[in-house]
Amino acid sequence: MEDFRKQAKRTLIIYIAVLVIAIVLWVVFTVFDIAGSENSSSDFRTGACSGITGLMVLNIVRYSVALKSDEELKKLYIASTDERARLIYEKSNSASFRTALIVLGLSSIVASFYSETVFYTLIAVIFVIIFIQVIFNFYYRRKY
Amino acid sequence: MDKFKKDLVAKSMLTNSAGILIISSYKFMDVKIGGLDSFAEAVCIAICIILVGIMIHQTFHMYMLHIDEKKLEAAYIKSKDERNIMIREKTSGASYMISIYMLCA
Repeated sequence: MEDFRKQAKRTLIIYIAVLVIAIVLWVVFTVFDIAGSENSSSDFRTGACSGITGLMVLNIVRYSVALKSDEELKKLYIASTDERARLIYEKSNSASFRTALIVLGLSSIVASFYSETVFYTLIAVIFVIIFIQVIFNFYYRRKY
Repeated sequence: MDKFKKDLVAKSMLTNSAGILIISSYKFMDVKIGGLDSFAEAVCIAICIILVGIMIHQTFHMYMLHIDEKKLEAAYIKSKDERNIMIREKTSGASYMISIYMLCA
């Protein structure tokens, strides 16, 4: 349980860092308006930053409460090591990853006839995703 | 073993249909709209060739498994290998999450 407590502390620090970054970006985007204020993209940035902020606040509260009480920490430990939940999480990620790649491939072909920019962006996204997968595969093969 | 064989066939059919869908959409759009510049066309054709290669390989692999029981058994053992399953799932999970975050950023 001590190991998990240390891990929870590390996770909490990461969440706080992400929260600070999201708030800073939010302030920069809305107050200083660095990236311009086209309506839809500006709304998307605000929405993304506020979503991340909300999510991080929830997680920070959850982890802070767990770190203060042994019982809550135990509950968090059980929730995070639940085999079924992990299996569902990993299986769904794995399936959605493959589907996303197929959909991206199809979209890039369709987009090539309408917009070159979108086409090259999608092709770049596919290559980056494949590159990330190769890197992670290499990493996990060495780890396990 | 029969269930494994059925699963393999289903998986292979799913992949092949996805490949055929992508290639036929390209062909359809090419005929209907056309006008791609040469580089974009080359990229599309390369994607289609890679997909055809994958489909041929998969069909050939399925055929080999169908006629050779020993190879089917080896494939079954390989597919049940805990380490490979874990690596595949962890890799997909992590790559998926990182890709989503990266796309949002």
